[in-house]
Amino acid sequence: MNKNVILKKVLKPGRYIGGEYGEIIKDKNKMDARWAFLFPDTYEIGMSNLGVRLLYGVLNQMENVWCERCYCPWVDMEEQMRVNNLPLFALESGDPVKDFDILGITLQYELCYTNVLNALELAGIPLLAKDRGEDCPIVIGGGPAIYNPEPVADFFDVFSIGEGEEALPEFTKLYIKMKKDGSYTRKAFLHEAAKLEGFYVPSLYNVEFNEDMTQKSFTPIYDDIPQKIRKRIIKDLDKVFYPEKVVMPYIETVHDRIVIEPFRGCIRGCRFCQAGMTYRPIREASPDVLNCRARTLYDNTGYDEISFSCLSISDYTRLSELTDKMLAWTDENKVSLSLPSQRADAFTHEIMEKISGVRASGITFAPEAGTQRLRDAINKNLFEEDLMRACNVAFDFGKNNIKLYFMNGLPTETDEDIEGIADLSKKVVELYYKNPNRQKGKHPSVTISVSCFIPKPFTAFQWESQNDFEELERKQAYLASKITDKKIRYTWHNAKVSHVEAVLARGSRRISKVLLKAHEKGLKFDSWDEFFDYDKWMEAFSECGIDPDFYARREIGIDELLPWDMLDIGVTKAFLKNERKKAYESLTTPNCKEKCSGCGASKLGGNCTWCREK
Amino acid sequence: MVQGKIRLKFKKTGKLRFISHLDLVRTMKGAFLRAKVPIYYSEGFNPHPKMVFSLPLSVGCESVCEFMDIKLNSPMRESELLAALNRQFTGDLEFTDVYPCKSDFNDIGWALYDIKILDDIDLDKLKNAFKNPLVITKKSKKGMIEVDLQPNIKNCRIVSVGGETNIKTLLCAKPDSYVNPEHLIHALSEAVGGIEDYYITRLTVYDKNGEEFR
Repeated sequence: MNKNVILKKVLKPGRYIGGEYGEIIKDKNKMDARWAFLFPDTYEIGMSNLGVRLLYGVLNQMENVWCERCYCPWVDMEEQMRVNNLPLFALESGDPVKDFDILGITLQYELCYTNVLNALELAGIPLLAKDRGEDCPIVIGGGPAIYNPEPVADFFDVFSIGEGEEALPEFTKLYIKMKKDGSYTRKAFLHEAAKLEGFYVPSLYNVEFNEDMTQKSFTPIYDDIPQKIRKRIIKDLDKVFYPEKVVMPYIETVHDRIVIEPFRGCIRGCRFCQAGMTYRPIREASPDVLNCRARTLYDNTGYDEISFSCLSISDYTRLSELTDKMLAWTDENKVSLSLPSQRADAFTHEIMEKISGVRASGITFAPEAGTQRLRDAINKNLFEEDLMRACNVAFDFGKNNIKLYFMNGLPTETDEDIEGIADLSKKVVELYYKNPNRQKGKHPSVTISVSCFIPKPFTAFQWESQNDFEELERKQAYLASKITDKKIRYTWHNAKVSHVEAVLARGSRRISKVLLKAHEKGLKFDSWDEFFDYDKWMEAFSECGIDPDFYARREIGIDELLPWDMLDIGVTKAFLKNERKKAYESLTTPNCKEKCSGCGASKLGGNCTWCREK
Repeated sequence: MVQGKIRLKFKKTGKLRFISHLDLVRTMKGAFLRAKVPIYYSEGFNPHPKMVFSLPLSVGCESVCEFMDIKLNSPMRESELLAALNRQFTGDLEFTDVYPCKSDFNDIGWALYDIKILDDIDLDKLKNAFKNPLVITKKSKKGMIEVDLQPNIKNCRIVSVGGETNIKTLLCAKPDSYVNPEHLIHALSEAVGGIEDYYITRLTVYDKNGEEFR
């Protein structure tokens, strides 16, 4: 049965056809290496991803390399593919992914792991790396969730740790060189790749466990590969390759807009935040370069929205300059500037003016905790006055919707802190009515969105335990009981999903059999409500003889060997240990602009303005 | 040179037959912007380019005779306009003509389709099917109703060459009695026992008087 028949039977066949404006087509017979780049979720979600856009551009810049895109088919298409023996294919050529040289998979977060396994199966590639023959593509993983790759280590040939713009071309060139000079075998290539900075080849490291299942050792099997793998960073964000075109989806995707990246890293050092640590050291791009990129992308796409992608846009030192440069042409071209969630303590009338007049009727802030005491413990460094001032700025501009993000289950949390969330939101409502500039006749709407705390690797809280259900649910109900005002909307995240995420986040190689089991049970699209099946996950753990709480709800010993200790992300363990100690004393650490705390990231280079330790 | 209210004729074929009308509208918006065509935008809070399309086209169908009406704010040379727009597409969508529009989309009466069937079907059963009522169930304001397509089918010719069966037929394209070729396939499929591998192309559009629509 051919694709024509299959495509007629599925929803949104536009996801599977490719042929978009901006896609890159090359002559496959003239290529030295063919990459298939898999984003392990649907087309609509993957096409909005900045990382894929960047790496697609970077790899295709190499004349003799062709990188094509691949996404997880929706369940109806998957069924058709299985029934008709149509293996997973890349969009540009339509060729089966298993015929490519390299299959790159971006790991966005832990809940995509089952999709990864499902995609490998659909592609016809053996799930376990050790079962792959010389004809199989080299399967390489990378992306934001790479900072504990151990749960999926058995399924990947190699991982790229850190930023890929320079690393992946280097890797590809090594591949091509070895193929051309005849020295290539899978084993030989992977051994050479393991010597390149930032590449982790799991099969070349032995992991041993103690009787109590804690990790005992992590040992390279060769002398010429590193004990610790240091992540790669791009030192100069101005000079790094940035695509001038974007593949323009025909169908509607999650975000249809231009994305530019003002800087990487974050000065704040919130103790729960993994990204803030793993993207250090802080490196900024200059407003001229950013504006130029935005303009070029606008000319080549016609998108009417530009989004700034970074961890804390308010902390970009040259934000005014950048927005001024952009507003000079965006206003008249009816292009809107979309700023992600702001720091309340840096939210001013000036910023509001620049993004005002645009579709958003609401503003989002993330206090994360309800009392100053807990905000200090998590190092959020946000004062109530700042939040109130920021809300007033929004009200002054006629906005009446405020969204506040909080977390439940944070270390050192007490019921007083939970009540604090209700108090804060009440104060915001009261503030609205006191504001003389507010939109008359309109009621305020305050939404508090509470997620569950998940201890993540490379944070000060990486040793903490996650609250169990009874406790989380009790807290959620307690908060609900404290909210009586109809103008406050309270939403909370599924604690069961957070539980599974926590297990996978701190998992070791022992988790791989659970993932295989979960895949066998048909689990996939775990981040989608309609597919997440907690009971099946628990079955998978139980059938593998693994207690999920060993990973999610155990307080890890401070001197225990962690499954991710072999990665060097710059920030040191000593720094994280100290931050944890301070959390328990409710002591704050100043942000990098205020005072360098010597986190250790500066040793990676990058000329961060505030690093004092060089 | 053209300006003011103009009509563009375009083809939607190949891979692009799988994108919906809504997707097409959105795609056109971006294309006009990138091509820097001085198209008239609506007023108001959310300005968008004003475009009117002729007939609906189901997902999966190709067409070589699609029309869209736009308004140009300033004059452009026909060849430049077509070239600028075609640079925004990969060939599966191609603008073939542009001219001042003289007729109304409401004048459209019939559309000529070419249907290619690769399934192994009984030719006699197929020919017979066209001699009997071809009933489909359709949603209407009163609920599900049964409609016989026959009165709205004209000049049907069936040819079989190699493993391919080819139907060329006129289907009514008036707004209140529009016949979706997919519905025809559905009705035929019931009669001959399964049509799955088929390709539909809309070839020409005619006005109510039988003249080729322009």
